[in-house]
Amino acid sequence: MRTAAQGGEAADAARAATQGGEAAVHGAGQPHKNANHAVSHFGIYEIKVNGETYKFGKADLDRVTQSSGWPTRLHQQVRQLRKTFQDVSAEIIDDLGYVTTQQAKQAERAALQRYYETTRRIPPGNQKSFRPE
Amino acid sequence: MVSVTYFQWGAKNPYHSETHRAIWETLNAHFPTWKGFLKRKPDYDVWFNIVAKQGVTNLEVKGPDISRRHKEYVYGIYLPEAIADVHEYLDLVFAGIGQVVAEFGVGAEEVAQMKEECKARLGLS
Repeated sequence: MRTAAQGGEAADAARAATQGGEAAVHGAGQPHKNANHAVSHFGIYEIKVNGETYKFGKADLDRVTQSSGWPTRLHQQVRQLRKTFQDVSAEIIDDLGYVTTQQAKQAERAALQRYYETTRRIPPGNQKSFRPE
Repeated sequence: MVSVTYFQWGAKNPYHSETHRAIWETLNAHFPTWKGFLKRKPDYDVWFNIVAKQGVTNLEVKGPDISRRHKEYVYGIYLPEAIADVHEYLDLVFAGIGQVVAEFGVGAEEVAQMKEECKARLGLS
């Protein structure tokens, strides 16, 4: 599991975020987390349904629903799935540390590509957005 | 309805897959008797999230997060990282669930009964 060792990159990204003009600005001058250069504590998660991989995704690990322990993004997705499926689980498979949204997207895509090369399957939850190389 | 989901973050839950169905069936079999909850919130779900997270040393129960929009009470049951076997795992899970359902007027005897039923479903009793 990675840690926040990409500190230099994160600092560079943070500088770029404050200097960049293209950012979608959110709140008091902070870049919106969807902006590619926004920096946050990202992780890659894997959701399993009935023991089978259902989706890979990225989540901001600093935004956690306190009681349940879920990163908020994951919480919302699992909420929908739990209404349909009996056995839903999720795991943070890679704690990326403080990286940019773009780096997190690349890590998400890499996880999906690895999964595809191993199984020749695209997880159901990624079928709309992922095209293998 | 009772939902049970699982979350791993830097720690593993090696007992989830072998025990999930038995826990889920047991809780949903007893849910209609949780009158303290159902009288107050008859159209709400109870959602337990069993969390294996790095650094947790003792059982912790957090919540509820209450969503009026989604009609749910969400509780986190944080397990300690070190669990000896499936018996201790079930002891911890039902200890956590017991803390929650005590608020719904469910007594310790019924919780012990649920645990035994769950173990019976797993062939462990």
